[in-house]
Amino acid sequence: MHKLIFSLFVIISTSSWGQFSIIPHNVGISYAGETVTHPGGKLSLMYNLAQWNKVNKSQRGLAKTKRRNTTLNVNFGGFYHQRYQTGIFFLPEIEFSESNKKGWYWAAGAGAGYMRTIIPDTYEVQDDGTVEAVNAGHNYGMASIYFTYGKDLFIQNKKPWRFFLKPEFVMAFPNFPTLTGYFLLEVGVAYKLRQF
Amino acid sequence: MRLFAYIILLFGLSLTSCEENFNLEENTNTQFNVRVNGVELPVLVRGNTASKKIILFINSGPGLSSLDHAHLDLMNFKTIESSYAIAYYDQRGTGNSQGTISKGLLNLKQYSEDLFDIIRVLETKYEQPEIFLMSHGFGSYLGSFFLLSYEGSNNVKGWINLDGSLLIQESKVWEYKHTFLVNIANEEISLGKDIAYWTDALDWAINNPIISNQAQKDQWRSYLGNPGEFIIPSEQRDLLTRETFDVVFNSSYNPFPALWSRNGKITAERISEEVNGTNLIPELSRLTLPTLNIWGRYDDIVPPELGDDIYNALGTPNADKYFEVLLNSGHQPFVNEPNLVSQKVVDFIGKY
Repeated sequence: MHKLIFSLFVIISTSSWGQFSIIPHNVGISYAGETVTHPGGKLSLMYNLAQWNKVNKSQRGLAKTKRRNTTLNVNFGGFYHQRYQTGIFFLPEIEFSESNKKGWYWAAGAGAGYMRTIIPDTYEVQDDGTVEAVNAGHNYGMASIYFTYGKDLFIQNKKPWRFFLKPEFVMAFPNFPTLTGYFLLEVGVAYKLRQF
Repeated sequence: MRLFAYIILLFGLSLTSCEENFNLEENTNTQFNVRVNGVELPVLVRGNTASKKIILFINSGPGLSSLDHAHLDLMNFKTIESSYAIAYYDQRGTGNSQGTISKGLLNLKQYSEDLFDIIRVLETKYEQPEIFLMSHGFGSYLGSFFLLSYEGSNNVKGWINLDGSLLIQESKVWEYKHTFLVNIANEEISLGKDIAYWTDALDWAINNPIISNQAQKDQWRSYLGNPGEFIIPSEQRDLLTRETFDVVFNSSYNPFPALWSRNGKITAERISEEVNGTNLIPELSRLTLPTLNIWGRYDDIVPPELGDDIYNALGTPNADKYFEVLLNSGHQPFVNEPNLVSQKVVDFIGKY
């Protein structure tokens, strides 16, 4: 246990080389329901890759500034669909987002990763005719596209929290005939660990 | 750290563990998977397993899924389930079947092996119940192919054939459809209904003894109309919004592969290609198990005249085979006359 803590300390303390740090800018946790109602969860490590301001002029000639970001989200998660399967996945995603001065933001992104399924209560007839319970599950590549809408409380109130709603379409492959689709709905909260 | 590892181990076991045997209950609702050649086939057992009689349902298609149909009770089998249990399963390549599904194994031989293994698991887990097959449409082709392939080793106690298609030769099927129109026209004329119309239909049928081209097939259809239009009962059951939400959000089903995938279509194409031009009726003399054949009088896909020939071809002794024509039904009598179908099925199984 001491070795594990020491190793984590060494990794974290030596990881800030140049502009990159292993410590994410935000860490998020969310309910991720497969087809909404089948419960799941997701832990997201969010790394800002770039940030810039976009200035537009309104119809009355006033300047309107919007903050834009590109982010790498490293996600670990899973879901439990009773009787069908349990899925455990690792899913990095690249995201583009835009927020206004009140902190409301939208984002869109796509990802690619890996998923392992576990299929419950599976039986197989053996060569001698007996029936045995077997462990069943499959490995899949994973791809996702999603949209997010939320509010970043840091922009207006300097509070380190943001809340978001994220509908996501996920594909697992190879499958029959090519892939199997999933719909995930995430409702989550993220905490700001450091500024960009 | 040990505690953490122990919790992870318990969680893992809870996800993968299986019951030793299933309980025999009057109101069972159990789902499990049977793995055959690398594919997990989901099986839902619902109803009265305490009866020690399980009906394995083979859905039509080919390529239709079953578990979602069962969840919505689209076949209206709940009444049967109060007397006996019904096992529904998604065929390889359809619905929520999972695993490495090879197109090369989408064939009748593999589908029969799948059925054999499902029956073996049902027998083992439910303390050797009596197994009956119930099949509809193309499911009856698969059911009879299985019974013929595993003749003498399948342990199936009886077969309920609902409007089954065992003849996949288009020209011969059209001979039956021709006879079907002639018989319907004669029946309607004798009942004094729309005499001029049905006389015209009869004259056309007599002048067109062989229906082969599209114009003839269209004319045949125009006399009979589509289901729900005229004389053939409607087979549509509109889903309520609540039911759609229920199957999508509150079932053991992932709707994407079941409802919004090409898997069923591809499966149907593969199987259709294999069976096209075949006829299992001459081989039915090898089957001697008790059989209940239920047909809709207005089945325009597999006419009851064809059902009658299936009944006659069976090798089953006359005392153990039945041919019931339901006078207000089309191709899906469980939609048109569900109570009558349920009663006949329950009575039949009760005899054996």
